[in-house]
Amino acid sequence: MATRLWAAEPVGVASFSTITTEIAEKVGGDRVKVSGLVKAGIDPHDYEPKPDDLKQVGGARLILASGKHMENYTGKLQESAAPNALLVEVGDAFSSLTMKEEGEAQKTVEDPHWWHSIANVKKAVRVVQDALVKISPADTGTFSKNADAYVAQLDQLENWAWAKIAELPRDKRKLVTSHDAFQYFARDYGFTIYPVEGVSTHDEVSSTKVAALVQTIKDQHVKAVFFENIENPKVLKEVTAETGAKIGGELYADGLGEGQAATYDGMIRHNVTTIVEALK
Amino acid sequence: MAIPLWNLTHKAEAVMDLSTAPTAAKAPVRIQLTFAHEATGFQVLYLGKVIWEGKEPGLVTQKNFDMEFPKAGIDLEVKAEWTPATPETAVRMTVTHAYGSTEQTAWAAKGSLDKVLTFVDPQ
Repeated sequence: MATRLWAAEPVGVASFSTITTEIAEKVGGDRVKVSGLVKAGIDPHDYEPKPDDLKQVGGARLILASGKHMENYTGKLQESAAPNALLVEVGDAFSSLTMKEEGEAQKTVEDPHWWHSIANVKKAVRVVQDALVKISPADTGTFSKNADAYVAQLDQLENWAWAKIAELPRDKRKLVTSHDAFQYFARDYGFTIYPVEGVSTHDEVSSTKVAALVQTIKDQHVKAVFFENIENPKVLKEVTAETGAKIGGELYADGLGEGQAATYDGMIRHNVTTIVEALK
Repeated sequence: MAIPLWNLTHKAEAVMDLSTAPTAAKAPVRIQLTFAHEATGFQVLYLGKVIWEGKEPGLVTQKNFDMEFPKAGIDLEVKAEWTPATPETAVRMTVTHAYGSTEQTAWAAKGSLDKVLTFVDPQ
């Protein structure tokens, strides 16, 4: 077996999602240098890379994007990347849920919020592991060991999430949020979603849709509605005033946040606890 | 004493005995646990609360519960422990209710298990 006499430079990684940033750091350990360009609290639906960001892309050997059409600037990334850099749209490696595009009833779009399924994140870990191994085969053992350890943590998180959600009767699993980001979560844990908006935070909220939502909340006896860390909760406040439902709390929909939600584990625990305690 | 894992994990799909099936949703719910290897103890939780627990239950144990089975279904959390020498094992939970009978199997690799199993109306 060959022994490396000196450590090669860490692999430069430019990441355009808070989720893929954490995955790259966990899997790569000290064998990567990760630049997270979309920071916590930034709406990834609105983000556009600045010239300085594109400079960092030029110095990276691996570029990680969330995929499923979350980033509409991957062409720019490709142009800015070094010739031997690898661009991976992580979410494109596994199946998508689709939804009607707001304002265009006949058109469906991929739901880009795949990280609300812990099972998807475990797949994403393997996608990033494979990409890093391609770039730095000498570090295969390190990447494999780190990825296995992270997946084991995610297994524990998944068990915790199931046990917590099992405290909530299945017929109370009705989620009203300020944009439609929780389809994957709903699929995994048996929730029905009633979004105020469609898939993107750019979508305008029509008064007709709000009126329909108010009626649904009344009909379905929904106890609480939720707003998001980077959303204007004005509409939800109006809805609660008309229905008597309470504001259940703030959810992290578009990536990691601050405080407890600064890690994936913390974000999931925050979201799950907030939802379960409000709807009980 | 053990039940072959194959028997636990390859049983036929959910069955409903129409001749004996109760028609009201408020009929008793019967939960049966079938262990591949004898467990040292177990708990069943519903809505976060322990509704049934026991020690050294043998390979098969069951109990009736006076609870409503909602149309949306129920999640039951099963916790079980075996002696450290127990190899990979499994437990099958069968829930019989007003709408029929459904079963789920959970695996345990390291002498303990903590898993949520979902039971919905088989129709």
